[in-house]
Amino acid sequence: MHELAVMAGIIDVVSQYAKAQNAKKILDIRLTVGALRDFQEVWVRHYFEKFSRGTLAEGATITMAIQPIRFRCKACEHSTEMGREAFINTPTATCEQCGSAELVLCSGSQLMIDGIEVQL
Amino acid sequence: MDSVQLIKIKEEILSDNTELGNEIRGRMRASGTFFINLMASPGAGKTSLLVQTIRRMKVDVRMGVIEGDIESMVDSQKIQDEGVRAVQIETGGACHLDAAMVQPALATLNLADYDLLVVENIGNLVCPAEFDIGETKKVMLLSIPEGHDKILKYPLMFTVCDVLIINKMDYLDSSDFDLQQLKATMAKLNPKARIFEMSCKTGQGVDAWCAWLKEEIAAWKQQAG
Ligand SMILES: Nc1nc2c(ncn2[C@@H]2O[C@H](COP(=O)(O)OP(=O)(O)OP(=O)(O)O)[C@@H](O)[C@H]2O)c(=O)[nH]1
Ligand SMILES: [Mg+2]
Ligand SMILES: [Zn+2]
Repeated sequence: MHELAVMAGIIDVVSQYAKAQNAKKILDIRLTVGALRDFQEVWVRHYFEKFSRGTLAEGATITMAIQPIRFRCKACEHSTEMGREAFINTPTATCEQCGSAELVLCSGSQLMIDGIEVQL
Repeated sequence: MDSVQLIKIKEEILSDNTELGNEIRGRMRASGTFFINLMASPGAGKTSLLVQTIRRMKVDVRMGVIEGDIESMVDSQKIQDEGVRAVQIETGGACHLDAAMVQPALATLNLADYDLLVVENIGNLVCPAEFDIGETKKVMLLSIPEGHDKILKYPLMFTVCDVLIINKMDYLDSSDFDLQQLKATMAKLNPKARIFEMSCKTGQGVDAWCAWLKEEIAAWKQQAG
């Protein structure tokens, strides 16, 4: 469960930012997560509750913006988007514009803390 | 009055681990040590690959192995039987290794004594993909009995690896493994990765892998100056 190690890191980072602003508490933590990442919301929340106890982040909500998997077509540059399910179910997916099979991954593996909402 | 404020962070998650990974990579570059992070499912053939590699390379290449797989000495013993030093990491049942877990094992070695160090990561296609351990190259092994759909179920691992070794090729004919489909998906996810088809049982593809590895080690050492 790598979500555990990841969550501990997130809480450290957001707590530092909140302290630097003299915030009373963190209300919301905003994450951007690519659909290729195995980052399950249920585990993220589970470990968050556990590790945030007694920190400025205790009780905060987590907003995860899931970024779709995106392939760029080598032939026509068009980008084709799909979610995790579609990716698994269509291994032979082709460019939705020109039908070429020459696609290259250009997005979907992000893992980023965007920001936090704090109470001052 | 309380007020609510939005603070922009825009920081990569796991940046601490990546920093430590970069530090390790720097030390490996300085000592001219090529450092491999070997990842695969349990039983895919990680230890077999190491044994085959050692047998072909230990005359010319000073090798060492760091065993991260669950705390048993079975794999370490197989490596030591081949005449190569193996250091066991205390993983405490973890699902992946990170840079901080690898560091104490590295501290027991004089890096300048090694041309090649390989970490046998914990058998898992999910978690190890997330963590940089300071490796020069990420090498993943997929074995034929696992099926060609693993790239669809665990895409991150296939996206981050520098080398994909398809092992247990001796099972290909008796299985429904679709090698073409795997390669087509790989071309989309990670076109730069080197692919080796291999059998640690028949020896197919092992020489090609070792030849590639020797070239890479030489290039890495040149960079070290
Ligand atoms: N037929 C065949 N068997 C293989 C091949 N490579 C490895 N094996 C067998 O697969 C089994 C597992 O191999 P290991 O090398 O121990 O695999 P591993 O990934 O190190 O396994 P763990 O460390 O236990 O996760 C052993 O019985 C090997 O003999 C191969 O290319 N073909
Ligand atoms: Mg093993
Ligand atoms: Zn197109």
